[in-house]
Amino acid sequence: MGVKGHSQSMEWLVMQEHDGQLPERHRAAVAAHLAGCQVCRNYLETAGSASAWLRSGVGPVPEFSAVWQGVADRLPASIPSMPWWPGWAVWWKWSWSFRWGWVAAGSLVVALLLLLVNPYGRLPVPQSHEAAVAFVEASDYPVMVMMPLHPHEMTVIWLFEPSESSPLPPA
Amino acid sequence: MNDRVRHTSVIAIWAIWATGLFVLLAVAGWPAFATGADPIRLGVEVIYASNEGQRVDPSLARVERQLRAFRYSSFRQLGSHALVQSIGQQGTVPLPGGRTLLLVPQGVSGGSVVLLASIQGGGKVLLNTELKLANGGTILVGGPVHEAGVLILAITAATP
Repeated sequence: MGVKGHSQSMEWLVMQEHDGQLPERHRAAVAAHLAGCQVCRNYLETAGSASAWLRSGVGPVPEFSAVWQGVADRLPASIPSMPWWPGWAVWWKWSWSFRWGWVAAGSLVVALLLLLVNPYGRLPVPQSHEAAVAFVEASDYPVMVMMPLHPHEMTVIWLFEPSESSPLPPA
Repeated sequence: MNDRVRHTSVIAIWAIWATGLFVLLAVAGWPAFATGADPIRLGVEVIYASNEGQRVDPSLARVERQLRAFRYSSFRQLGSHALVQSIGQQGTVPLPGGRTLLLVPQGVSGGSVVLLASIQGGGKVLLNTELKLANGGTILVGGPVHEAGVLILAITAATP
């Protein structure tokens, strides 16, 4: 807030006069100025009114601890009771499809692990006659490995006597 | 209900699942993964195949269909041997004619049993082979002459 049309030094002096802190050596000059300047008189009057309002507006400070105690006393009645475990509260708020999704996913994981771990004994293992021959050597015999052509057939390793023909009947 | 509680719920549910599965694995299941230490069950049926008659021993019903593919008409079971061998442990099966079948499980790979098999007789190695048998799978090894026919060995391997 400034004083229109005045230098900063005169503005400062007027404010000092308002605050009662104007040095003695400037009082005569400032009084002479105020006597002839309506603008500065208006400024002093406005500033004085504002200061008076600020000083008069501050009343006794209320006891806030009592206010907060009142708020605290009312809280339990307005908050719904919580379950013993907040997580289950969410569970019960989920839709049925979402709940069953969780149940299905968990059951699937457990079922897969049970199949893998099988703690109650081996589940029936599909019997197979599959056999592979990594290597075979027979120094004194011609040897033949017959791989199965059909699911019911077995792999056969056959050692031929020198005079023996094929173990299979002639085609 | 805010996001924080929702996140807490999700974490809690997964924590329950994880705990349950951990207990399941720890208490009951984990040893099942240690197949390398499990012994291997081996079965050897010693079969005499010839053209003396038309008979197939009822005990050979499991392999009869395969045996009938050979040019022999009679199949008689001379012996049946069951062995339980640890990995690397050698099992011995006596065969007619002073021969011996040696079986050494090498391990389990992809659910199949890796097996070394050797037929020895007269101070010589007649056959050396490495087999990979599916669990419960059977392979036939035949050919050594016996009396008026040949011997056929049905070798089966299975994990416990």
